[in-house]
Amino acid sequence: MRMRGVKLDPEGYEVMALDRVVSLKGKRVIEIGCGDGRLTRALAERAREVVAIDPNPRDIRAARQSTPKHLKRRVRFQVATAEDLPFRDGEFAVAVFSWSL
Amino acid sequence: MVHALKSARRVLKAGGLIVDIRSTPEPAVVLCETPAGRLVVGRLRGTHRKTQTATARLNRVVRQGLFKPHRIIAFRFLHHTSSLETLRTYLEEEWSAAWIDGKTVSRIHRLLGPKAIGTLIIDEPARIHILVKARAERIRSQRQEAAR
Repeated sequence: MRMRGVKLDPEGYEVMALDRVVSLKGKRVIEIGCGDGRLTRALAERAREVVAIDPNPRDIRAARQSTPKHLKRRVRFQVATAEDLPFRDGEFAVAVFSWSL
Repeated sequence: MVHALKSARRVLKAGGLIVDIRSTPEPAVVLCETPAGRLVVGRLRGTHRKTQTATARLNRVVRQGLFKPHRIIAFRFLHHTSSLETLRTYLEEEWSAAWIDGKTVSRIHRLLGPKAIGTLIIDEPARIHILVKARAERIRSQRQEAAR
């Protein structure tokens, strides 16, 4: 959960850099360690679908609550650990570790 | 977390990508937003994230032939805080081994006054690493070579 009085990357430099190195258009993306969903929203704006996982149920709740309505159909949040991903082989085109490796 | 990378490899399709976003070992800079613009007031001391461990993990899966390095791009990740007190609390809670020194605190007080309320920014050097899932044949041939 983000602290009050702290804003992370309000300039959007992270997403600008991401756009320069990878296109997510039309792709299924898994975000491993999504935290409160800060980056998930940007991924969902670009990808066909994002599955975002985190082991912390509190973070997953916060991420769900902060997802804008227009993105809810494209994002699925799930409590899960990186070491034991509950998904089929070859389901995703991109796996994102944002400050979580 | 090497296991996490292996787990991620399993759920990636052939040619799938790993996107690893993280800070670099270079020290972050602390900036103060003033009417005259953003001024550097010091460097963050200590490190908060295990960047070297993460690099070692990536190197290991590359050596194992599970992924191929594809691209790296550098960028600046900015953390905006609303006061010196917020900055300190943020460092304590989120950056387990980082702190600001006395000289930096004095400069902040000179610029923002005794209560030090105003925008303070941690400017953190960061990178995005892109790795491509290697094909199974490549892994087999690497293992065979290693066994010889």
